[in-house]
Amino acid sequence: MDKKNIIISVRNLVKKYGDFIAVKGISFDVYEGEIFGLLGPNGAGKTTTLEIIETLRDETEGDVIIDGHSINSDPLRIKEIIGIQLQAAGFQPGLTLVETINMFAALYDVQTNALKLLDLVGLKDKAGAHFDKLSGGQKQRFSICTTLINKPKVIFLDEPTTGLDPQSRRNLWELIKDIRSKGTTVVLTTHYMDEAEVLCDRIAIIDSGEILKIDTPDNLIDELVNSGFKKPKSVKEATLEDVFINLTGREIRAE
Amino acid sequence: MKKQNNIKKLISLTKYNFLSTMRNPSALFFGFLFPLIFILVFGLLGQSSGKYEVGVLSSSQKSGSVYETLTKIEALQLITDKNDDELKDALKKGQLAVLVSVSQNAETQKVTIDLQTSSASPQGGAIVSNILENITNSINGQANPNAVKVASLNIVNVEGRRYNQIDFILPGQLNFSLLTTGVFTITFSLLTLRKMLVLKRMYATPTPKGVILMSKVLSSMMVALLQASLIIAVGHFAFGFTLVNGLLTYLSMLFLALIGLIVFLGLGLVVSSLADSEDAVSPIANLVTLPQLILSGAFFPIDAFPDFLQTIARLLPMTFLNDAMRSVAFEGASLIDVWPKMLGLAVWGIITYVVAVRIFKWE
Repeated sequence: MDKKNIIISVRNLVKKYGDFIAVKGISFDVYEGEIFGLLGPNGAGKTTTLEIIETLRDETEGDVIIDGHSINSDPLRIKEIIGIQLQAAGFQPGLTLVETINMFAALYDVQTNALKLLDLVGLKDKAGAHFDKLSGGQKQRFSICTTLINKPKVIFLDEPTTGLDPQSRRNLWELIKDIRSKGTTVVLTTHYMDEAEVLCDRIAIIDSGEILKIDTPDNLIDELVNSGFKKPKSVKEATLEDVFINLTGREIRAE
Repeated sequence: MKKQNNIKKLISLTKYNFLSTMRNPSALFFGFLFPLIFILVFGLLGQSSGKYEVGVLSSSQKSGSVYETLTKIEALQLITDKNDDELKDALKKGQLAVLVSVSQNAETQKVTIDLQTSSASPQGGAIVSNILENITNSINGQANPNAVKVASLNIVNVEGRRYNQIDFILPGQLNFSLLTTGVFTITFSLLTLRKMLVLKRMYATPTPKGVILMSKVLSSMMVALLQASLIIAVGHFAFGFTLVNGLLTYLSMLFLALIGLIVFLGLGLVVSSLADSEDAVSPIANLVTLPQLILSGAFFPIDAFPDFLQTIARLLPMTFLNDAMRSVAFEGASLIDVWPKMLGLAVWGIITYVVAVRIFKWE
């Protein structure tokens, strides 16, 4: 593997809530320009880890360095160079998409072309619409759109495709790949293994606040197969999802 | 590192918060229409029966300049055709607002108005006391709420100002709407924004928490001030609310409204942090607003309460605002005259914001 630049370095991160230890001293690196996935069951500590990295939550111990800045000493600088999509977050009611983007541009103290950004996520024709009137997929795309306002080096997406139909999910995967192809590093969490397999260059599997494995999806699958693992049922050439997409097409639907 | 311009952020965020509120139909309804309906109701009431009945005791003078002044006040209806027992009975039943007796010391020429109020008619009692207080103030320039003493008889031409019922109703109603809007709107709006993670998303930008909170306070303040100016304007033009010193009184009232709002919005911030859920907001917000409404002297005279309650009542922010607003709107006092009340509000302001910043929750 090529020598890559480390953009995020997580070192011995610990988060305690009273007696409960949500994150148990985890360490990992994220390389510049990759799509990095944090996988794990509910309550594994994914969101907590993500929010500590995003400077939204204080850590109990440890440090995170993003592009040379520490979350402990320089949280505001970090906020300037990252973009964040919160799980199921809403936006100020009563504002149009363009107004919301302009408001965030002011909060980042940057100039932006709202229409161009909306065009990037395929929402240009919704410029004057309100966020609550959008469909689930459109909401997520707009959420991702707001992470790009400050031209960040890294964007964080917390379960970006949860609750979306297969068409919208595929559409969002294309968008995320597109963003990465322009040089932005992407860190995301997901429950969907197919999503991680298609989208992520590398994944970390977290459970009970600890990292169990970090590698590329291919290597992890090969490792399991090499250990003698066999699926109980013979694998078919297609999945039910393939059938669904084949029948209903890739076109995203209006809701 | 780029230098972040927080003032620019504050202005921009305030603008969008304001837009967001103004586009919310229910906020507009409760903020603007509700107080106007109140004024309308009171205004119509005021037009039909604008007079408070005042029993004149047999011991009273029935002549002299002070007595003449009383007869000229349009809001008062002097009852002279009943004997003392009948009058006292009517007072106890709440049929009369107060009993008065005007007497003059033969040597000093000093005129005394003795006033009897009753718990049966607390509001009428409070209002008539206010009128009489205002009269004696204009005679000798000295305030003393209860046993009103008039120092001089030499000033003969005491012109009775025209008192409309709306003149008593509007300042209290205005404060009432400031208190409820201040506490309730910001509390509910923050609760929604917090639940929808809007605040958290804003906090994920390089904008200090203080700027985000202050923009919320500023935008709510702008909406409430618009509302206050509208209430006064409609009161004045539609129902004949008297602006004693014209535009100056109008602006002074708005300035007091602003000071009051700063405190009430601070209370709203505290309430919104104490309440975890929608279910908890209403009780806590009511706990903050209701005692203030009852104890502030807007609806019942503070003197009618037991001593310990009086002490508490006189220290409440709503009481400070009520007293100041009444002096300014009703007696035509200047803002400088009411500085102790404004100081009291300022102290409350500092306390609430120190507490709010410490306990504020972002999600």
